[in-house]
Amino acid sequence: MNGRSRIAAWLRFGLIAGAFLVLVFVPPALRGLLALLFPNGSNLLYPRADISLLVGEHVAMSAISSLLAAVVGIAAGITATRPWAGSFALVADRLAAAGQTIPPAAVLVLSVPALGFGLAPTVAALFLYSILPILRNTMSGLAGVDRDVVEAAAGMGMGPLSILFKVELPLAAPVIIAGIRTAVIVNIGTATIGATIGAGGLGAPIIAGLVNQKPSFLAEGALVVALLALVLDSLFAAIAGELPAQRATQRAAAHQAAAQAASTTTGTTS
Amino acid sequence: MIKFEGVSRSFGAQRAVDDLSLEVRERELCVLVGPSGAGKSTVLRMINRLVEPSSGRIMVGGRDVRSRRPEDLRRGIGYVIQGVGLFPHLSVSDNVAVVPELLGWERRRVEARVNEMLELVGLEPGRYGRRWPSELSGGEAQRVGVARALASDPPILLMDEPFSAVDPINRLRLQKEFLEIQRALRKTVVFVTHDVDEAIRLADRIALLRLGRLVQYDAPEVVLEHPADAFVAGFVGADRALKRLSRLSVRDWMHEARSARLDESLSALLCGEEGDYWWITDESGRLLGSLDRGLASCHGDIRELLAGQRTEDMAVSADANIRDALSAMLGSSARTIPVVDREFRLLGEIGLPDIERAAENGRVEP
Repeated sequence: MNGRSRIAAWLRFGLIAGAFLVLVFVPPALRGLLALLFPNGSNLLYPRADISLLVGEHVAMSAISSLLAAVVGIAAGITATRPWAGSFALVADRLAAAGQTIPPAAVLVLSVPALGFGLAPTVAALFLYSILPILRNTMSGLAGVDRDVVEAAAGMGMGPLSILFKVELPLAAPVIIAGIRTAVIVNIGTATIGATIGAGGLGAPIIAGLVNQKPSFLAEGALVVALLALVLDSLFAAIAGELPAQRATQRAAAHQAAAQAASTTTGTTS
Repeated sequence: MIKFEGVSRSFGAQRAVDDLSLEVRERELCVLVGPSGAGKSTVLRMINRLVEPSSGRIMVGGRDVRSRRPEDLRRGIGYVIQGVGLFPHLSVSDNVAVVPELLGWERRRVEARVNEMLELVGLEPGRYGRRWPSELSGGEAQRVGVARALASDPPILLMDEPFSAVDPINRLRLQKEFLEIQRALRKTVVFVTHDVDEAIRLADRIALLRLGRLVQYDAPEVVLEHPADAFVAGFVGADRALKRLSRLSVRDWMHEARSARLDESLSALLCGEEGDYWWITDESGRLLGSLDRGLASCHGDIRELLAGQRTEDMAVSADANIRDALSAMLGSSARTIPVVDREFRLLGEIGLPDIERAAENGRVEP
């Protein structure tokens, strides 16, 4: 990604985030939008909680679970790829895959007896659900680091920790970040289910809309959730463009394209 | 400087290195050569403890390598590998700066050193310093690899097939440049290759390995002249007499040439009996061609006669080796060819008798 497209990625994020903030913190904006969608309706907005509060709950649930999943997933991924890890890699991968096989609704129901209603079981379900993409990407990102580079690092006198933090993780970062991005986006959507067991968040107007047959409540929740997912997705896209490993490969691609273009031009003129 | 004492290394049931004893002297360029599976890389990697010996002892600078922390040992030994192994997420400058930074040098000193190293390997720091490794050609990347290995000025340099991934033309150039650097810096170098020609070109001494055993350890001339056994003779090739010539420099075996400047008095000088030839140069001594006495001045315009000659193909550089000179001689079907410097100024000439003399006198005792 060259300088211009990096700026474009941040601009895109800024625009989407701006639209989102206006919708959430300027009440007439959301009301106006819903009025546009439902010209004949009245009492269009979900009355029991302010939208900004719902967004807050929703972001908290997703953030806590994603953060936990990132810490556990990356740590497990690093451990699994160490030379002394043995069969841990396989076990970790299987466990995480199993975690994703169970539908989140089932995890919610199953964890209510243990964790009660509300935020805790929702965070637990989201956490289990997001480990897999992060773990898998961490493992494949680290495994994809050129062995020559690691060997050169060791041969130059870097210790195992320096190699991990200065060489392997920076080089695997684009793949790891992509895993976190997937986890977070899926999380934002899945977190709406938490409303069924009283966790609040943007699922609340959706459930209420379904129960009370109020499509405008439903649209309110769904629109804001979708926009939130877009905000985070564009944020990750912009962050990914800043990673040195990413910039290096993209510069290389541009370099090759330029070289190729040059050779084809000389080819046609000669 | 580096000493192997009865070193063996097994991988499972396989013996990669078998009872190796070998000493590399200080400031010597030792080339480990042998077919694949000979254990060359394993030998090299035991010096900086990337591989540990199963038995035996390795001394570096008088100390057992196992008495030192691997990280400290390695920071004092430059290391260049086949795949270069540049850090793709760091700029060229940052790559070269890695070891000095590990050693905790202050920033200004690191920067100065990085620029110095890039200049040493022929890369302009202003142009190349901020590039990514992926933007370099194979030869450039390899140069950065050498610069990086030399950055902390380690007394020892280990090179594991550093030039084998580059095309033949660039490989020759890299070898030549590396020899120049080595002549200036005089490091203790252990260099692994499977290319006999590369070994002969670079080595002070060649260590020939086969199936983990040292078969012969001698100067290239000795290996070529007196191969230890049929395996060595076969490995260095049937053309080893020719290869020996490639160790000898044209400069040492050429002799003075009879030459004249291209000016008005030339006709008078040359118009005599036939049989002799003269090399003709311009005012600054650059070679223009050759003229036979008699034939030249009496039969037409001298300039015209010279214009038809392809001296570029015929002349050989004084820095070239005797083998190249012989090849040029055969190519131009002349028994004597002119020797020139880099500016194409005539320095002398070399003929078949000179080459025979070189082949005879260049002989070494076993």
